[in-house]
Amino acid sequence: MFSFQLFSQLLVSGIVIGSSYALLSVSFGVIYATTRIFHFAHAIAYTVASYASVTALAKAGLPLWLALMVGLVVAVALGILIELAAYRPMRRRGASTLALFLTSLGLTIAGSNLIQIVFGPENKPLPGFPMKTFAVGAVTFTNLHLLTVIVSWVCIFGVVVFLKKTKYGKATRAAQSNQQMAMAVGIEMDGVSLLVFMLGSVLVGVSALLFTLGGVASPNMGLSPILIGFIGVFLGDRERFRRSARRLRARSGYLVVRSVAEW
Amino acid sequence: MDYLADVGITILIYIILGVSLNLLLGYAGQVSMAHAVFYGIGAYTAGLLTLPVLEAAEGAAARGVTSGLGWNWLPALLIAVAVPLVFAFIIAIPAVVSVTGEYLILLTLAFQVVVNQLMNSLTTVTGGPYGLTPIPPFSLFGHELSSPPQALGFFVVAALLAVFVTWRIGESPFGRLLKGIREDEIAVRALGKNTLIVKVTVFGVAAAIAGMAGALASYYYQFIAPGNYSLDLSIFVVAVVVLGGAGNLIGTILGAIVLGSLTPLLQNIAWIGSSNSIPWQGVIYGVGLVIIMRFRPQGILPEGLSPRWFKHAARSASAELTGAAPGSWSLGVDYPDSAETCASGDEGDEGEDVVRISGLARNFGGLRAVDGVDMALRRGRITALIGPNGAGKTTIFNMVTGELKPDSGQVWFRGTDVVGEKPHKLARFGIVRSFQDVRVFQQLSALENVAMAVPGQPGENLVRLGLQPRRTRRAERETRAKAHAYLDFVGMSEKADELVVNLSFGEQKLVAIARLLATEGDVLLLDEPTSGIDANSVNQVIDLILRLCRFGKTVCIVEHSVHVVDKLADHVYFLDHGAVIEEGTMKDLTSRPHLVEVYFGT
Amino acid sequence: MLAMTGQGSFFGKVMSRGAQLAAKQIKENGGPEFVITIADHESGLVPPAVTGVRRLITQNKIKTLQTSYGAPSEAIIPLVQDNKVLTFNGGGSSPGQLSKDYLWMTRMLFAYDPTDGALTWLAKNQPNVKKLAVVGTNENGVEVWKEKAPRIWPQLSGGSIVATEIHDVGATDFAAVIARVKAAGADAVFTVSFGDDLGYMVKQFREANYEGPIVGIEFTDQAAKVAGATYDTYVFATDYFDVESKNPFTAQFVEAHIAEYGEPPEYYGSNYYEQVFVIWELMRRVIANGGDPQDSAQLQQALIDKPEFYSVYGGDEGTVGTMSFDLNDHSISKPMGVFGVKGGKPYLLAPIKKVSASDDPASALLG
Repeated sequence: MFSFQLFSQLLVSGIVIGSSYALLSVSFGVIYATTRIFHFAHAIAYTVASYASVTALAKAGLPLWLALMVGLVVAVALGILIELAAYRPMRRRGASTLALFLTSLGLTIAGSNLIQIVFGPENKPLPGFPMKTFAVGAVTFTNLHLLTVIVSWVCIFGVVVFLKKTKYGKATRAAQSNQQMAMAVGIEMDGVSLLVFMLGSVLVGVSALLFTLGGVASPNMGLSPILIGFIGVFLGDRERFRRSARRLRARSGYLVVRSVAEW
Repeated sequence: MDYLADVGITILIYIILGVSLNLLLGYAGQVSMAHAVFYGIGAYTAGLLTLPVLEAAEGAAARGVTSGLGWNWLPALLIAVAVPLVFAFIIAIPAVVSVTGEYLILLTLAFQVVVNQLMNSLTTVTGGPYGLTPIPPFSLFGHELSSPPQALGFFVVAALLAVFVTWRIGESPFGRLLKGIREDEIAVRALGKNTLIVKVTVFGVAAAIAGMAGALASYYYQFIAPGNYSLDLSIFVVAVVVLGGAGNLIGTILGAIVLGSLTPLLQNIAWIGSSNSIPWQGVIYGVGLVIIMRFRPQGILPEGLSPRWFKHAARSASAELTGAAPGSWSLGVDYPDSAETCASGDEGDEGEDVVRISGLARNFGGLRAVDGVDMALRRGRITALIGPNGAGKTTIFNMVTGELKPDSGQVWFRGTDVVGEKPHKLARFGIVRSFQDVRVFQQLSALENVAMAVPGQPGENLVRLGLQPRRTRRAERETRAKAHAYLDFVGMSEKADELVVNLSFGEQKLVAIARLLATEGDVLLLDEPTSGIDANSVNQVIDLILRLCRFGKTVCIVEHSVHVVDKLADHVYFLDHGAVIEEGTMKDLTSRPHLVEVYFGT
Repeated sequence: MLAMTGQGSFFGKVMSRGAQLAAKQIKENGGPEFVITIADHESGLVPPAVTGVRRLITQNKIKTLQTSYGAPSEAIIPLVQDNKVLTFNGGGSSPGQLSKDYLWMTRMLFAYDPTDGALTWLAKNQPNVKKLAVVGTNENGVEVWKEKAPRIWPQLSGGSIVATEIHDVGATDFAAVIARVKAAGADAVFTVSFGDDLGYMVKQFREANYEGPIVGIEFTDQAAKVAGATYDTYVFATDYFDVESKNPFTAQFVEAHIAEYGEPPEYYGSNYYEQVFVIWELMRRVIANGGDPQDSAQLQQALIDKPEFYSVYGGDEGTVGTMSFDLNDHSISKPMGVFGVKGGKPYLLAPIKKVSASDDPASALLG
């Protein structure tokens, strides 16, 4: 039996969750496309962003917006740290994709356990978001949902514009399509890698904070979002991240498929 | 005692999973993140077959306990080996056809996550999150053998079997193909080998062995639950293989022992085994993984390296395989000792057009790389393609050998249009090629490089490898003898056992020629056979090519060196912008002023 | 054998604290020294559970075991029976663990036992509720959403079940579940979900402007943190552990727990706390009869001879609460109640009791 109300509610929910999945996929994809690293430890950046905000809010007593900024900064710092301390030296030694992947997995396993040791296994909420519900007919959504959709797509389009229009973005895209060639024309691969790790970590931080505003931080919270990011990249575009237009189309398709599937 | 046996069983399970994954990951270079799922499929198959048959009413009681078929464990084990095999084929065929390298990681990762989720949610089949229980334990002659020391025996036998099977496969001609695929799949295809079947087969074998482990584990634990087959286990098995050393089975065994005893060891150390420190075990495992990848990415025992006693055994085994003493190898064909020119060999005999190309064309984007080319390659004659870079010479080779599909045009081979055939088919017809960038298998010895090219090896077929061990062993002796002879022919027999990566570029080119000859192909397409090598080697290569042509091979070269073309070619096609501009003998062409100006220069 | 790592490590933490506190108190008061060794089943995995319990039996020579979770506890049943290890489960009690020699539940049967009382309370207090939606998982409480709720709800209310929604364990997004429940026009939601999922579910139902009652069968502080203020609209029926209880046994427990760990105990920790006292009591009884307190068979016999024990549940000022094991199926009868939530803390609405399938479900509601 077709219910228009159900369909539209599922469509709206699908768009919300699909947007956050898209953001996760892009945050993962921007790193993967350039460095070819399966950056599983992205899960730790996700978790750490949430814990940093929670701590800044609860322990340091910062206002919510500032606590969120702290979360982003910490996520970026962790991304940079992992790139500089773990991946870069390994790349210099010509490590294989698999070796880098396992390194990333090792960091993830160690990281989530360390978080549990430091913060304990309890849930940590990030209170203070002024939650409101809107109703259009029988279809409801919250201001956090709206924020999630808007922020996600602003971030995604921001990345696309960044890659297309800025000098650094162009260097990144060149590195994505052909590393040797990019190096030949004087693009610093190390610099580009660092850039995409910063970019990806900001995005995953945003994604984590949007989640935590409506939920809680916990030590293993990063694992399933990152798997979604992996699969999103795989579905989105198997060849080249630079064909962003195609990616976006694939994303939108994904949203609709998801809503229909749930219905 | 029970506890030690239990830890032993855990390690043996890791060994079985590790060696089977190593075949896939270490030998064939195909990274699978779904090994745990195949292990699980084996377990569920065995569980569903051996669980007792329940009456409907009884089954409906307590939360819908799943009813089984009540089989004995042994026949169930056989089915549990077969079912993952089928699943592996289903997943592997699309995976290895359309997906290469790193995307295989993503695809298998997705498969792992999805199937593991299904184990949770398909409650009517899998029993859901609570899984299946109680699976009947091992039994012999009506006696249940459920204690760990009793079960240990079964796992020892199974692990020995798994190690033997993977070792046998890994060291066979099939294993050689796996390594070739890992090194350079296109080059393997160009030798006339169907890499697709090889890849799908090895996927299946690895899954089947994992399935066996899954079934045995289900008899031991008497319990199957989805959490046992999670991504964590897949990661763990990959870690076992990589830690031990990819491509090294002894290394995998060591890796399984080290990682498998890590947790029990940590648990038995007082300060770290206490309850507050349990998360530290995860930290140690994770950090350990990072440190090993950073400082010893090749693993404990890298490929080719083994403890001395094992090396000794391996050497005597390979001596047995090689058999005959050096000097007694024969090609079975008589190549002329030397030749000045090729055409003079068969005077009067015009030779047939072995390959005829007509109207061949191919676009790349908007670029017309090859634009309606007609040409003929004649037996007993050396044909050369010359022209500036980007004229389309290599693209023609790629189309004739099937690596690229032409947009239009035909390639006639002995009167049949072969356009659209797969590369390995064309190579088997006899159209074989060398590559500009040699594409030898770097981590294999010169001998293995050449041996891989020998056609019709029974040991490349796993069924025959299993059923006709003697025959395949004999054939392998012959293959190696042939490979030695080809290496001898190109003057490389001294370096037969050297890894190719350690040879000079010129030597690598000679190995590549030996490899090409070993395919027994009649039409040799040589892409810049003398580029990048010293003058001495150039003359050696020229001499070789002449002798081959004299013997009756149809030779076509792409060459930039006027000197080489002048010495070799009987017929020259001059290409520019994808089209043949001139053809004739080198003498004809050098007499044409406009060509001299743009190409031969001064 | 607890969940010390993985998703459920919170439970492992509070359960181990409860047991260790009890051991400490017993020793300080001149009792025997209980050596507590913990094995980790990594939040529900079978192989580490089996290996871990083998290690406890052969290396640590344990005589008694406190286990948790459903699947790993079912998997170790043959082990504890063969080695005669008296085992208590105060966490994931499931029907598959009933009537097993050497295994005793110190917690109500998850979801199954309080369902009669919960639905009776709903039918009596909200007579307008007819169309009920049931939400659950495939992991726990399956028999409730499959069989019990559809059987008794029409008897109790004359209404019907209009939607049965199953979600993954560990879900944080309930948009689709909520959309379908709303589309089915359900007047109320009855859920047998558990853990943090419950917090996300209640919060998201309220954020989607769903106004009907939501009745569940579990309360944890963890889920309350997730749901925040929306949890005050939640009602649940369970053998809830009341920190405010005046039961003297409970009062000293809460005080000691705060002194030791800086925070009051909660539901799961208290189960593992009182289990240690049950074991001590059994040892004393065996010693009193001149038996060997290290012999689990004698300990179990002592339990069967008199299955009543002091409990931190129930009781009141001046009266220590008691609980008693069912000798047929090895389950427990503890005081249960229907609770509301105020300011994130539960308060009693009405006491309920366990009823058997042949009894009138409505008799579960007391007072």
